[in-house]
Amino acid sequence: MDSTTEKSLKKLLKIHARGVGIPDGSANIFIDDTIAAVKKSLKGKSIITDADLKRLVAKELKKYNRDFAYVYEKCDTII
Amino acid sequence: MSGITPLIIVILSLLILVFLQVTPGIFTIFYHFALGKNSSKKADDFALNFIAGTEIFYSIMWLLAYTIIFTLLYSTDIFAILTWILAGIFFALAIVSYCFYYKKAKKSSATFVPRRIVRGVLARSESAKTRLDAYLLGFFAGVPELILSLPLFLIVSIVLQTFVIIPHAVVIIISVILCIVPLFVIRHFYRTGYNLADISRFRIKIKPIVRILLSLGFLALAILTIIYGVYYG
Repeated sequence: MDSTTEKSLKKLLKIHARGVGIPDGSANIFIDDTIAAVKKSLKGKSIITDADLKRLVAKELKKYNRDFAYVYEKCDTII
Repeated sequence: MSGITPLIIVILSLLILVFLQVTPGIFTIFYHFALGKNSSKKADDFALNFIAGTEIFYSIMWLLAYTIIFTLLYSTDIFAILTWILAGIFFALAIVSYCFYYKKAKKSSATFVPRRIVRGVLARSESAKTRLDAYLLGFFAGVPELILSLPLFLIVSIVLQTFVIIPHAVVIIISVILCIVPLFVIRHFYRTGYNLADISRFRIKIKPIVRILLSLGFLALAILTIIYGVYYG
């Protein structure tokens, strides 16, 4: 995960968090912890697909808020 | 039966329009992103601009269909051909809406809209910053579903030519308002505390019912169009 991707992922997650009504403070903690956990589980892997990344992030987010994880994971299957 | 057929065709067409899911889906996503990026007041303002765009789009489509049909039926003698073509289209749509309207995945409400368009909509919803962006997104939200809605506009416009119970303008105004009712319902859900996940789960829950209703609606419309064509042709 390079810095640009991490930044855009954080930005997207913040939008989703506010969209589902999570306060900014809590959202920042959820997002930072999630990204740290995802980075940890990706350690040593040279190639990762967008789908893998999405699944990992959603899995981590589910621990904090199910709606947050749901909108992040399913956003592109709603229409 | 034949006397009330035009009225039933109009009511059925409008009901089918209310049940179409693509524009409400785009609106649901748009409102979610608007809430994620702005205050709830500004998000609501954007949502109203989106709805205004959709309303203008449907108004243009209705008036276009009405004018084309009015001109065609007065200058040519293609009433019978038109009704038979539309009956055929409705039969096809009855099958298509059952088999292909929704994608097969059980836990999603994804429709037939190509993924490239969906990605475009998501990107536009995410980057919408002004009222104009919201308005334009709302305007073009009805385009992907024209394949289903255009035949409905056309049959109602044809039926209106022989419709004397209610003034045509009243029917068109009611039609345009009905097209945006689902968007106001979704807006109400958001304003009362529901979020994208809740609305999406609800849409998945009603997916089998919507699929059957759309299919049966188009089938009934095909039969009614044939009856109408034979009676008035």
